[in-house]
Amino acid sequence: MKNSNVRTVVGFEVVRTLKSKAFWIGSFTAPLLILAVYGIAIASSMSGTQTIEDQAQTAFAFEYADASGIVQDNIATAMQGTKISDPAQGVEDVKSGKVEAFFAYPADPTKDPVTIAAADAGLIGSGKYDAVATGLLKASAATQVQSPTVLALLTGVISTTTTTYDNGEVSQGIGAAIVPAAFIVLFFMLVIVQGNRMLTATLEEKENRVTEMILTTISPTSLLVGKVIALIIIGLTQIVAMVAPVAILAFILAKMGKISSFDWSILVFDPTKMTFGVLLLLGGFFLFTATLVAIGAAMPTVKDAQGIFSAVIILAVMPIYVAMIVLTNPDSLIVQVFTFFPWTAPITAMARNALGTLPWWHGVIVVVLLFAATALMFRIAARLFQYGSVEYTKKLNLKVALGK
Amino acid sequence: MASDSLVHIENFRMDFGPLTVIRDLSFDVHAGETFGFLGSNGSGKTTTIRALLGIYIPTAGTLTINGRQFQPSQTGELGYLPEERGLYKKEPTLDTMVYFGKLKGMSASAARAWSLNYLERVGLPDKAKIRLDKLSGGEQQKVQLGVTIMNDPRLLILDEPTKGFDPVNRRMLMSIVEERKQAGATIVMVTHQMEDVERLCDRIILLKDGVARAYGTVTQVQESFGGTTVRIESERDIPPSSKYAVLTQTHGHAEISLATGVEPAAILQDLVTQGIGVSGFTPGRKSLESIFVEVYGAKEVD
Repeated sequence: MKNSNVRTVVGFEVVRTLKSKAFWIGSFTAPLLILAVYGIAIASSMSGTQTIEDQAQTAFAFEYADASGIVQDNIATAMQGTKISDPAQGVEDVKSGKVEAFFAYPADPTKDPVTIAAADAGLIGSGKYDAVATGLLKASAATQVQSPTVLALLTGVISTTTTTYDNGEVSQGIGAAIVPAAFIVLFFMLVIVQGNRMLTATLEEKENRVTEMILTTISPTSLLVGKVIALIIIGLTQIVAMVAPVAILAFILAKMGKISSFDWSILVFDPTKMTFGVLLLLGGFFLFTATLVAIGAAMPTVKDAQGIFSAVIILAVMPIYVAMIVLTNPDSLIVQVFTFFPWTAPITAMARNALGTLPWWHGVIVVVLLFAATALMFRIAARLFQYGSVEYTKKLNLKVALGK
Repeated sequence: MASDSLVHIENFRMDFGPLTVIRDLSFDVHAGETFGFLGSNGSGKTTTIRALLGIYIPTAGTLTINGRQFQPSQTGELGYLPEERGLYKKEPTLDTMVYFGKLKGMSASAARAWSLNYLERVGLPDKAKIRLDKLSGGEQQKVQLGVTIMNDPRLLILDEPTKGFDPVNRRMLMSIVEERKQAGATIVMVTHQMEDVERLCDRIILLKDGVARAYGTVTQVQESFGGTTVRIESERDIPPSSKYAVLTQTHGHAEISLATGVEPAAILQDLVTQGIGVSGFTPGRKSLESIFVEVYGAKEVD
């Protein structure tokens, strides 16, 4: 394999992709859309919270009848409430427009609902009655708790810290799963983002009738290696381009105190899990690249290749459909099959690696299987490329090509 | 294998599944010569070239360039213009040329300088930064030819080089080919243009259904396809006769092949006796076009 020609291919492929406007538009569109939706969601959430708070603080005249004896008159008066004894009168006063609302508190509010009769203020605006009725009851109940600590426990959030042990050692918890799980995300993004590019990597040569000239300057294997290296560089660049804006915004918001900053100290970089994570990621990426390149080489056009492409992508993401079984029963037959079948292995094995349910020898077998399958698929892809790429207008006869 | 063989093909056989495309084909191309590779569509010319260049793996036989099976590492010695033309259409012209130059072992700066010079020569200096799909078909052909010859190869393999060229560009292309010939390059030319073959080729091979039907110098091939022919310009059509066979005849121009032992003078006398006015009468050898028609049949050639 002539390294300088591999470098030439890598340089050509990377530069022309990075010079393409479509690449950057595609890279930035996803994070910008995410940011836009996230921003709208935050704004809506803040607006909704504000509305509820406003509603709770909205002053309006109301009457109430209290069978529970919990409601404190002074608090009710401060909120413009007037106590009455006859619930029917309260309803009539609302109907006549004398007051805006009437609340009937039952003898046991933990069992029976508070009955509200109120003037219609619209679907959203009517929410203020519920807010004021429950707010009055809670405020009154809080005054009956003597201990500030008990009151804090009843109204606040109770925090816990948990330490678990594995073989007598403190286990690493969720922090140990986050980093290896990131390889799943990386694999998923690489295959989804780069899949189409992998498929068209050689189809372009075929559709443009460039193959014959190319194959007299570089071997099919060297060309494919160059293209795969370029795909990795382009894929990583695209992931950085997609993640960076979100990460930068998150950093800025954390600095501004708008969101809570992430506690990086919980992350655990377990060398074994990291090693398996990297090997599974590379093995999986190479296998899918070789598979998609082989499909591209055997088909005359992108359109013809799309059907099989979809099937391969479904194979890659199929383990997600059994995610609950992977989480709860890693020894089940389906998880074992998915772990050792090369095209479903990457996500299954990476998930088990993250969760700590992948024994080291399983990991070794899967990695070997992935790289062996990759080598086989690369060989097939190179052969199909060599033959298929000069079959410009028809599907390749696999028997003829592989029989050579 | 002759000592001066640059291309050597011996007992080459190519099967695609049950179909045998080439049968026991052997020939040599000598260093420095221009070799015509002739045959009708589907006769196996492109298959032979693809096998020679390692794109196809032969079923049997030996195919070598400069004594060894072709490897892409020899690309610096080769300029190949395939029948199926194409370049990276969405890339700028200059970038594409530089890419191929680098793949052929040139430095980026040398490839760039050569490409700019070539584009100037073929009248495309303003197209260097233009995407190839924005160029006309003829302009793309010129770029492709440039990519083919940019490393000054010792061996040029041109598969239907004039395909898609208008007469002006065809003349320019052929002048470039002649230049390479003058510079000592060995040229293998697959073509249907018999004028080019007669003008440029030292030796030829005729392939039909994967089998060589004729092989040698142009003269040897002409002689092997019968003795004397006569080109006649007459006021009306030449009538049939047992003394000759009419090879071609259109609008007063005819080429006839004389039967064994018949002298040209006897034919001229017969025509005059029959009252046919003859304005031109040139004895010679059978033209390659006539041989081509004879081998492949008029219908197949059309």
